[in-house]
Amino acid sequence: MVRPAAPTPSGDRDLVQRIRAGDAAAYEQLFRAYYGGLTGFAVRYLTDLSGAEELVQGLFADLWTNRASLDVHSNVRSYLFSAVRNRALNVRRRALIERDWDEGEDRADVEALQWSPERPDLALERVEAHDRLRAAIERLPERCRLVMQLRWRDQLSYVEIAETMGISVKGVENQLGRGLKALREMLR
Amino acid sequence: MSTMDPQMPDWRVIDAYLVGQATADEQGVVRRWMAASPANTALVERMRDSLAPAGSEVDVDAAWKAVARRTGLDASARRGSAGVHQFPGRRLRLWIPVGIAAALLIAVLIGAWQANRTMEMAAGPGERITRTLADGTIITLNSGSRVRYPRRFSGERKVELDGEALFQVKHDAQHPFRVLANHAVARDLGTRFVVRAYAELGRVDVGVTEGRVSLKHDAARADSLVLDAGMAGHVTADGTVAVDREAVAATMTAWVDGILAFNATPLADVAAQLRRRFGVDIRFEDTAVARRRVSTSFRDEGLTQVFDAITLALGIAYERRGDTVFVSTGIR
Repeated sequence: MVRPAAPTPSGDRDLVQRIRAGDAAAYEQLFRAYYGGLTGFAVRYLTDLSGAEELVQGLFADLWTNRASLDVHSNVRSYLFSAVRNRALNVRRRALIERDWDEGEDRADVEALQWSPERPDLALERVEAHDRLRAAIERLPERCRLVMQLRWRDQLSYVEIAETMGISVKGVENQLGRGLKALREMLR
Repeated sequence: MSTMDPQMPDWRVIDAYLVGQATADEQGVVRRWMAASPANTALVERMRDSLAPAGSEVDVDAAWKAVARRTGLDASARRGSAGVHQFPGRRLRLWIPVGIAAALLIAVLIGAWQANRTMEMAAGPGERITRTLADGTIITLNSGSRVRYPRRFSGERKVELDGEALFQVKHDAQHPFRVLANHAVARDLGTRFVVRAYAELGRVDVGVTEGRVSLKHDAARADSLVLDAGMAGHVTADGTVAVDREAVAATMTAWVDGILAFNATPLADVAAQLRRRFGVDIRFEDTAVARRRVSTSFRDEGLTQVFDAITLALGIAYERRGDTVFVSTGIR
């Protein structure tokens, strides 16, 4: 299966420059490059896919409307992913789905991760390795899972993830390192 | 139940591997660790798709059209071209005739456009996706495969396939279900059947496990081949249609349960499945190697184990460089 070429930071800066100048083709290119990844990220917060799509489409629509004030020098990926996160947190707050979402993210420090073997034998052993990995990932704390997704699915840099999630680079490394160890434990 | 090797490499090495920045040494370390158990392999090779939230199939074309409408960039969106410059402020002028009849006409056109919206579903490396279509037909899509289908069926039922899928068709005598796959058309006559349409093989294979399917080349006056339950056949790009006496429809559907099964299968065909299962490119040193046949099966094994097993069995060699695997006779 052919995947489109991955966006690069310098390529992105070119696109932003062109979008500022009103180039709709560049805007469409940016949209197509990031829409899937951003929606997959938003859906982690909102769980509802159509809500996630609406959020990301709204973000892009606003981006075009405000294109004259786009900052060419900042990192587009950090900007897009952190904008999605901020909007998603607002949606959740407004919907009172989980008033403590922010605190939930804080509580989700992998330091406190305890693998409680409720039914590990049933849940994990009967499915194949891929499904076991999926199940294990869903058991991780939210922030850990989000950081992993940004890093290993969307291929963001540590700095981009730190900017998106509002944590330090060291925090990002902690989530990745400890998360990987936790996964390994769960898959034993 | 497999045990993970206690010597997991430092997480930074695995991280580098997962973002494609590992040095050759680091790649070796990770691969050796992966070879120790299927769980290790899965942790690395399935990480990327395991992180994607389940069931998030997005229609990027539809999303773009929605955004284009919102921002007034409609005209270029309707043409569906990414290479057209559109200056904001220029709207597409729609000449609206006066009268109720016109309003009805527009409503019908919009309804028809929405009914005919094409959805596309794609499975990534190592993924299998099952979906039920609007008519009750169930499609199971193999790794690295894509299927296009209308959101709602109006009249005939037609889907397009690139790759491999199992179809369990809800029979409707008035509206035959057709699968267009590369150069072939497989028409349901009431059934469960698998279509294998890997473009690089230059032929489309069909195996029927229940019911009956007709298979033909998509050229206007091509002959049809009727396949009953248990039969398999193929149509080549140049129009040859034939039954495969050795192929058994049941083994053609092993992948639905996550099993890769090969029975005296040429490596070129094996490669078609492995490319999509693992998301890598596979190249052969020459056509002689690609014609070698292998009989074996795999389930959870990762890429390294699969290639180790196959090359060992055939006395050939392989080398992996990033996303590409090179297979050769190995004589130096």
